[in-house]
Amino acid sequence: MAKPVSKRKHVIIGCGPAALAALEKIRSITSEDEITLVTKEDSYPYSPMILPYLLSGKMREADIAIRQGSYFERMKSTLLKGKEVTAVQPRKKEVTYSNGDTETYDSLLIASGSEPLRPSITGLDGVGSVGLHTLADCRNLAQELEDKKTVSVIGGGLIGMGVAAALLERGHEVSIVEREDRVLPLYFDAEAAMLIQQIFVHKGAQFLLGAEVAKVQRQGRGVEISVRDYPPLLTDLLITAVGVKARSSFAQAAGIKTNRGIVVDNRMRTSGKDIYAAGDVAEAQSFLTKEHGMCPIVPTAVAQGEVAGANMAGENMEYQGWIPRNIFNFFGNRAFSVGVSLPLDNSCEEMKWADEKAKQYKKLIYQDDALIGCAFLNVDVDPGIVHYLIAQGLHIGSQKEALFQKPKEISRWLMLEAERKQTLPSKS
Amino acid sequence: MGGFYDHLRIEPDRCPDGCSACEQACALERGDYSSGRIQAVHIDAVGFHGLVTCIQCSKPLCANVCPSGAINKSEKDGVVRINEDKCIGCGMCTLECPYGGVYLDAAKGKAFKCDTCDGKPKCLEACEHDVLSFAKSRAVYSYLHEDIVTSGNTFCLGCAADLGFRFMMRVLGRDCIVFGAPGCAGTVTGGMMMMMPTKAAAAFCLMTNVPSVMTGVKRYFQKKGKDVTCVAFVGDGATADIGFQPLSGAAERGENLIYVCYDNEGYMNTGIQRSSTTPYGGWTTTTPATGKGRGKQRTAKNIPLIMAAHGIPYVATASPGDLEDFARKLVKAKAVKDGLSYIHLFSPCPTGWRASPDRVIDICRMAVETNYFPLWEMEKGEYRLTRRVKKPKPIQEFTKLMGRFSHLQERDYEELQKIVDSRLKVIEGLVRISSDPCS
Repeated sequence: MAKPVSKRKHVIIGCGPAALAALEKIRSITSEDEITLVTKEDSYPYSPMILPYLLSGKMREADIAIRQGSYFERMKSTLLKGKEVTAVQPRKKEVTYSNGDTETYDSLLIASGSEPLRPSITGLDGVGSVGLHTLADCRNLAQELEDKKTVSVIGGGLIGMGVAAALLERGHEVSIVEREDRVLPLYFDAEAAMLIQQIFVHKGAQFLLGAEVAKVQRQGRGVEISVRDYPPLLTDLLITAVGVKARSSFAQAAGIKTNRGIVVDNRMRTSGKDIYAAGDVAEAQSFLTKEHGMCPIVPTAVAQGEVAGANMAGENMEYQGWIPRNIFNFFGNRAFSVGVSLPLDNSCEEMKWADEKAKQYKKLIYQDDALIGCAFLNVDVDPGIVHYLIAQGLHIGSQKEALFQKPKEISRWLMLEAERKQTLPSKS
Repeated sequence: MGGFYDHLRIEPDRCPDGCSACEQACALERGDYSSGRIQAVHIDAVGFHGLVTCIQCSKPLCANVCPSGAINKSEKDGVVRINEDKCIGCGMCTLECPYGGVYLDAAKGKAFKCDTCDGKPKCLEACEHDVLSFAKSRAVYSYLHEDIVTSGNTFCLGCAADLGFRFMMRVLGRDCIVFGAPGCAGTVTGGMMMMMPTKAAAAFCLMTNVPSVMTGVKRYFQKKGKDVTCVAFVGDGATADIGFQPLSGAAERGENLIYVCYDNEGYMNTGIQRSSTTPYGGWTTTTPATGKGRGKQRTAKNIPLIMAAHGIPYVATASPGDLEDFARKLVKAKAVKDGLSYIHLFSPCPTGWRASPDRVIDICRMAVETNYFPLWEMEKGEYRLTRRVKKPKPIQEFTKLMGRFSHLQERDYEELQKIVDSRLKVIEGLVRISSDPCS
């Protein structure tokens, strides 16, 4: 019998996917507890992922909210908009807002997300560069772009490439400056990255790879970017998109253990009593390597938020660990990767195939008898099913070659068989 | 409450080699995206044939990760739909769905999935191999509200009273006051120590005074101008023996209460002693079957019939083996405003009846099929059999499912069968008189 718990108060910092998943989980367990969400944004929650689409005009600003006011009423929760938590007092079980008000909690979830990393480049402050992480950034960027023709994007990760694609569609001349020797280095190997790059080049993009930006400075109405081993690059507008970092400074100040993010155990508990963290701000265990690390993507945030919510409401739920994955759609092409992008060590087996003309690519990485990573470009496969094969640690064994040859059919078959039997041997 | 919807059922074992009629029908009929919303999977090398499509998850992962909030599960028909205008074609949903139920049209920049053609799936019409069927949600689900009984109470494994109580509360709803008495169900009507697994107002009474306490509570609220539903869930001992007088009194006074007796045919909670509803031949610790003992030698009191003879507005018998029937009777009982409603719930006790916990529902059904426990109701003097058994099975089909009758011999079976037949005759007679008083 469930032990009767008197009404508790949960405070959730943030209103992104992790926060919403936690809210729904807590509500599914208890209808009595009080839940307050605090967001520093003035609007109803939206996903930063949507911003490039807003920029390219595929989405209207009126449509971006993923939840409306009635949702929070239905969930019997309070949403405090435009309020920022500046401090946490774990001993007093209290949070402090920027205006000095305080609020007590029985359990606290930090789902404050991430903020853009600002590259340390000489002269960056003086040239008026812009990022793309919030709705305000997006409005600002849209305004800046009105009379600008050439744009340079520092950073060739998913955000940088997403912005670049949006700008190319708007008709701008775009240069992408990336420190690594390939684009999307976190998700794709050199060969796949090259194919993706070629599609961008075909659309008019210019790439500077292995490019360390030495300094930037004003040049007339534009910006001059000095890149080591490259001629100087003149551009009308500079956009920085070199990645994100956890928005965790207030947690660190409160004495909660942080590394690159707030360190959490497999129940999403931080080192602070009754304080949990989930989403982009949390540093949780990886499913494949069992090491702690960051995985700032939406599916991870949702899964972690759910685990945090369950434990906050008094249930015992464990997180299985994150698996890096992402999907990138650009100019009618589809690229996605799940799991590791390069073999972990010599024991791994790699299979790959590319068709440069058709801009197709597929790669599978096996360790022992299980799939641990894959990448596909313009190959018809269900990304979710491949993720399922990896997350379940399914014994692929003799089907390795078949899965590589006919990934769509074989992955579906393996999934259906596993679902039916529920007993396929899993990786220990 | 919702959560129970019509859905497309797939039995892929019947998929023949190379057939993709469903996929083609979907692609043709809808024709708006690059492929069908249901897709055939054929692996000739291993002889595997199957299908992938959306299974309309109760908690759709795709909707959780959608960055534009374009995916929603309808509360009306349970279908997970993509709002095409809001979809940005990022493909997050395809990355999340483990069942291959959502697809991306990269050229169009939109995701698409099965929406069951709004209840008339075209793939179904095209399938000639009975792989697909559109399963209708059973009517019983439409009666259900929130389950307010938590898991982990002290009922024995397989107890029918647990199912009966839980189901009863799901049908009646949370807005009830529950009354109980010492007995097996005491833990859900009265709690254990300081804990109460039922999330409803409850009052725990003595075995002798349940209807009296209910009368007081009901009348108090009536004076306050509130019409509350008072429902008792009490065993056969407190109903037929110890607490019978107050029940009979409340019925005679016309108190507006719902009284549900779960009849496990003995004092099971205190160690399996006989009660006045223990059947002829039934073993209990006080009616032994060893030595000269041959189980109980008296027939069981026919409590529902006795209650009906009070002239109250509603009396019914019900069984956990036929929940739809039980639900209808509960709804009728709740609608009564001018007197007492009485429901006699058959409630096999695996511990006391020496039966296997996994056969309890079989026992419930066999009790009806042998006419040992006929399902009937009486509404304002009109009797009606709610399940008419066309070919009744011999009583041995029922008694063989449990150990408490294992000592019976041929003559005992004959006697028991005679009792069963004569009791059925009375009910059938009453039913006949109700439909045609002149006969």
